[in-house]
Amino acid sequence: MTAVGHTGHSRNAADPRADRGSAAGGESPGDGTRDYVELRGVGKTFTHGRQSRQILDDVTFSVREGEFCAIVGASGCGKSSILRVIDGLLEPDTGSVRVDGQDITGPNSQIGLVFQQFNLLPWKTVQENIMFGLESLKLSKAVKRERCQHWMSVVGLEEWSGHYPHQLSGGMQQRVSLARTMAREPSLVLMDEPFGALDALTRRFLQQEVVRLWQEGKRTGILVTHDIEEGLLLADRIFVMSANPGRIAAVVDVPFKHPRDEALQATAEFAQMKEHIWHLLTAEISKSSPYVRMRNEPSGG
Amino acid sequence: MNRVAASRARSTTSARTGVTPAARSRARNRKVLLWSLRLGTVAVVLAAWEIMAASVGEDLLPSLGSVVSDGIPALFTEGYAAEFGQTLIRMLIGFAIACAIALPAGALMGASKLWADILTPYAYGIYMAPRPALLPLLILTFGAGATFGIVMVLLFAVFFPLINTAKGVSEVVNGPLYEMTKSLQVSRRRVLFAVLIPGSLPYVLAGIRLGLGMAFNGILLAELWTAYSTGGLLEAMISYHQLPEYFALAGLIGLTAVASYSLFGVFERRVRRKRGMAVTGAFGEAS
Repeated sequence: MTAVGHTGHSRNAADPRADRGSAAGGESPGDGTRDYVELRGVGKTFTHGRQSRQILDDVTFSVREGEFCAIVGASGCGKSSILRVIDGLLEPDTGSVRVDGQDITGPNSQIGLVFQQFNLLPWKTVQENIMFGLESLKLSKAVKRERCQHWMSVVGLEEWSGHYPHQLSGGMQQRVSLARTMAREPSLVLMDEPFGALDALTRRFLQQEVVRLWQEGKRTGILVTHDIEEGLLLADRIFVMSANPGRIAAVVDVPFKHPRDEALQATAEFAQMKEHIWHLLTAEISKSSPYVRMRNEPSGG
Repeated sequence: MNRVAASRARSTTSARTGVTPAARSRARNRKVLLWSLRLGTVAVVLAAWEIMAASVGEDLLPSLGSVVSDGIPALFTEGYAAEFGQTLIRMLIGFAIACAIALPAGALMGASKLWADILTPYAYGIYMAPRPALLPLLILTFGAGATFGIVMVLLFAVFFPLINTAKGVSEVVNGPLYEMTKSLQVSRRRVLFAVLIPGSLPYVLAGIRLGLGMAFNGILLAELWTAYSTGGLLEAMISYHQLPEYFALAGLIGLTAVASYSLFGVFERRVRRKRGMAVTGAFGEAS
């Protein structure tokens, strides 16, 4: 049973205060602001032929306006499915999803999703890919061009505007993907393991970029990651997910102020938080994996 | 561009593509080696031909000299090349009809599981059916002339464009790019022209290229079976022992087929390169 308590500690997801952020009296991002994203009892089952598998079960949580949250869990626990449900790409079998007070029934121009695999069009240049992201918006060409130029500049790719994705590194491609999403100026940004395919150095650089963009733009964000450190470096709150089926098992408030740099990563408090979340995760994995339970049981008995 | 500017351009790294002079030189050397090997192989084959012709005699295998001096001029003086031109036209008509059927049907199969389930058995049926066994029925239905040839081309050539188009469209529709367009709320029309068509194009072009090869097979089989047009000429040349003319015409047919296939391959690679896609070799290998 996870502890209920002050900022920096985790709460059991069943605690009625679990989706209202930190304990009363503490300063935390978005304190006093409304819930911008609300998931209530969301469930999803995938059927393939005669086999079905429940991916999500009774997922309930909220994200406040202006908050940046992370969902951390093992591979296959349904983290990406949650993002797709919020983005309207997947319809939940049970429960409801509301963003900015509106029920989500399909993709929405106020929501942007950054994919793990960049998903750039190989036959379009950097500039064309970003412009492609703006096509569905009812904006004048001049405004679209201006936004495209602005975001290419923000991610540092103006000199590469005429290049194709295959001429760019992985980090550069992810920057294009980020620019394409951000150029739409969504009020809610969803990121599905956006740095998973990148090397450590590029990942760190882009993490810092994301934090900078966040602090400038004051958007609401949800990041899905299997990297606990990434969650601690970026997020205000971390939702720990169990698997088989996916549920929110615990909520952890992250007490550290931005900027969160390498010096923070070297502190005991950071290590403690990481260890705590790790234990939460492994406890969930043990519950859902008979193999792990058998391996952890004392032999001979 | 004058010589000085051209030389300067060759000795500097391209700002557009980032290709260095060393990489350009390596690519040039590779091309020289490749063409040397190709021409060398042809030279070896021709040398083997001459040796065999000398050993078995002109009655069985004409020498290269006979083919060049007697066979090739006959292609033009006797109208054989013109007749082959007519065959090519019929082949292209049949191939155009095959593509006109295959591409939309393939797109439908790729986009809809229902249509894939309905049409796939027919597609594989056409491919697997022993066409020589169907020839008498087809001749009874379409006669033994031009129409029969066109129908044979259709039957031979329709499979690869159909299946490849279905595969290409399916890859896009079921892939991450399609999900991205849904997330960005891109209209269906834009998805078709900006994503589906360019995304499936490599598969479609590969299917057309393979279908073109099958089209050559189809028209020649049809005309040989019915002794019509070019097929009839080839049969007559064998019957009357006009071997230099026979090999000249067969060589023309073979060269035309290879040239068509290669030219289409060049076009295919250019389209892919222009669209920033990976360029593959003739058999799909990385290039």
